[in-house]
Amino acid sequence: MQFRHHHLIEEAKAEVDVVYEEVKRIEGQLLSVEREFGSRVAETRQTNGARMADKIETLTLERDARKREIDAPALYMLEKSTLERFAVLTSAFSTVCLSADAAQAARDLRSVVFRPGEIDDLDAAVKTALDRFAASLWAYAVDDASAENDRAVRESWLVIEEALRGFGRAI
Amino acid sequence: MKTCLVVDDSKVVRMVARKILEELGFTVVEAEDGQIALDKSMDAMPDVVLLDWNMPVMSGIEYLRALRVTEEGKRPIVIFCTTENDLAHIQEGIAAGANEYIMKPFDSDIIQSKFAQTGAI
Repeated sequence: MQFRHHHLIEEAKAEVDVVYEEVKRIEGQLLSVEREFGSRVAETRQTNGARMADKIETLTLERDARKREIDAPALYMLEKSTLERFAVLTSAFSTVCLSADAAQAARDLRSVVFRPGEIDDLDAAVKTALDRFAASLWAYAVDDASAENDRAVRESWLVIEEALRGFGRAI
Repeated sequence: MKTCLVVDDSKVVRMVARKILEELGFTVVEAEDGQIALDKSMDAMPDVVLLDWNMPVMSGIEYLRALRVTEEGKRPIVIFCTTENDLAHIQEGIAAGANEYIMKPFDSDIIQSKFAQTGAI
């Protein structure tokens, strides 16, 4: 039996899920650091004495160092770019799949993926990639879920993504 | 310290896998397709390979077959990590020499558990 390959959009969705799970795990680590800090500060306050302020200062520095090591901001940035990539890819897929034919899909795709000012600056390779992406995905969705069309979708999308990054999109 | 080669065309997956694996005590090396992975493996054979299936240039299954025909390449524990989750793909991967199979999306617990099952940790 011949199974269909999973599609690019499914992999993009998996990326979103992978990052989301990691964000939850990291936030769990941060909460754990904060809880430990809270209980150690409470213990320190009970001991009282002249060196209490110094001890709390040390604990605070230690907590901040551990939080820096966990580096949640880097993961949040990764999550943001992953979501943006998934959103752009979803828009591209829905545009192509809802078009009446491959030619219309190619026309509509440009304005969905790129901003008005960017379309005029697209080079020939990117325009070719847009046409190839639209034609291959349209064929894949309508009547030919072949490995060749899947490969063409993936290869052309790489070129489109590279162009988007060139315009400063963090995807 | 053991080395894990993470082979995936997704930068996101490589970054998350790196974070998880480094916490498990691995030195992590990355490759964005099978050909780069093969070059890096021949240069320094990793202990474990976490391997995607669909990649440009050379797919995961092509990499695995090329790896396993070499004498040194029989040694690493290879764990497929992919959205391809049907039986045919799993059987094909195992037949090509994979030790385990993780379906995306994965998380830290799944990685840890599969690595423990295969003796990678």
